[in-house]
Amino acid sequence: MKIYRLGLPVAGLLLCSALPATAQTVPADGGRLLASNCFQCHGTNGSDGSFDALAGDGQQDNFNKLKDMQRKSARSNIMIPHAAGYTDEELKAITTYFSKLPKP
Amino acid sequence: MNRRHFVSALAVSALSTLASRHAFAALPRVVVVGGGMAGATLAKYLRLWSNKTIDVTIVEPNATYVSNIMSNLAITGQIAVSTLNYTYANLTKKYGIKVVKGVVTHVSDPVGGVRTVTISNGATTSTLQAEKVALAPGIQFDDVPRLGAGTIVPILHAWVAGPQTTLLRQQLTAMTAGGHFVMTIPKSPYRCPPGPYERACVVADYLKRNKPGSRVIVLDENAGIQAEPENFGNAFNVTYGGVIDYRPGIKIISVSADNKTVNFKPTSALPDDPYTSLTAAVLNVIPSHKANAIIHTCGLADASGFAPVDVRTFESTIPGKAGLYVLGDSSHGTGLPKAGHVGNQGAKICAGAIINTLSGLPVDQWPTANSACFSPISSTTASWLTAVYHYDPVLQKMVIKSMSNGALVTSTPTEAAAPTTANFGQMNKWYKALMNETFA
Repeated sequence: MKIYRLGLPVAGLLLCSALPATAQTVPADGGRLLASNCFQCHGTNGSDGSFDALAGDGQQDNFNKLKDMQRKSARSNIMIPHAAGYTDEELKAITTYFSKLPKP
Repeated sequence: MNRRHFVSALAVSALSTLASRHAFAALPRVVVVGGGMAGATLAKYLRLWSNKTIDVTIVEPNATYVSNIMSNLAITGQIAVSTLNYTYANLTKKYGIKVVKGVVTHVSDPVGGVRTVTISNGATTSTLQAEKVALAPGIQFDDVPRLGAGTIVPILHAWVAGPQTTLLRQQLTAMTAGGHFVMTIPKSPYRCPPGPYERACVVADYLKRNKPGSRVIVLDENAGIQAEPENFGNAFNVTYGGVIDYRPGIKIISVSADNKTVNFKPTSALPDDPYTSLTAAVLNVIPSHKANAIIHTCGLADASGFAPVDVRTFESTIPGKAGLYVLGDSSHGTGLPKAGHVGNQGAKICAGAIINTLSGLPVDQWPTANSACFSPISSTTASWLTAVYHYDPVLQKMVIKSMSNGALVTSTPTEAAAPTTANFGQMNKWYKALMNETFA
């Protein structure tokens, strides 16, 4: 099959951020698909949504917020079951992805 | 070791090597059949995530997409039908997506890796060529047997928003107080699991305020409420007690020619058992449905009437149909419900898979998706339903997962604690954001 050289900005991001030879592993797409689950409410790339913008937010801050949500009653707010739907590694990948995007 | 979708540094290096080895050639082409929630999102993300290095064309018969989401509030007149309209102008302007008006009538087998897509627009026929073709054409309804003499008045489903939404609105407005609004719900799977129950609620709310003494009779072919059973059950029994008459396990047999009388039986009835009839002031039959015609023309449907796909890519699993992608409400076997918010997320999985496949890269084996849906319960209150989906390699479909004691375990959708006015406000924000995410 013909192979195309497509503009894949994620590859560059990965090479910069994920290649240090540690045991830490990252999603192949740099957390892009995981983070895109947030776009429907928080906007494409975490900005221009009706709810809080996420682009450029501090990684640890948002990770902590999501972990706090996991301890709350699932039916009290629609964000609670969303936060509870991902592992710590996934939440790290999501919050890292947004932290690298420019603030809107 | 976490076995989720993580790759080694080695694979990442391979990616950059591949990208540099191949000289920049003509852009690969993708034709997206259908510009609804899934098709529009796919087109947008193919452009966005490839840095505009894929040539993307949407083929769509309508110049305007009319949102099914929120359309129940247009039936009650709370919002104007025109507020449901979305054009493709932003997708063209911001992302350079081409839009061709017409209906796709044929997709050829690949010749030298290229498929020919035939498009009919009135008397004109044209063709497009593409390396990849993705179909998101939506649904079509099964025929409903019609009974009796006289001119056949079309079924009023209002389950594809547009002129039918306005028609149902007009009939509801014309109802006299004390009349019966009868609606039917097809057997699952159907488009938007909470949608029919939401409609029963907002119509009941409208009738309570505007046509006292009227009733909503709901004939459901399913054994029970298919989404948010607690909130809708409570709405039917308490909020709209005496207004909504919910009857599960009822199968439609036929509808009168004038579209006013529905004939039905319990789903447990034998073929020779007599049917019962109800004559309504407004009859709103939502027929069972299947994937749109082009899916069947292309041989992409199975016995379910929908197109089975591998949810990691949305590529057809029908033998001989590899390389054709089906997403949105036409697709089947994904584990995901048929709904707009989910159609948007599924399209992003598909976009990533197509980009990687064209680039010769491995496809994400561990996709995730989410569904979130707000439902108005009255003109001022709303509920919600949500779930996060992870790919299950054993079941080969998406499964709802939630963290419990530090691990992801199989779970069920979560519904709001109760319908509230705060949720109604959030619903409006969600709708605006979701439509922006899809069409802007």
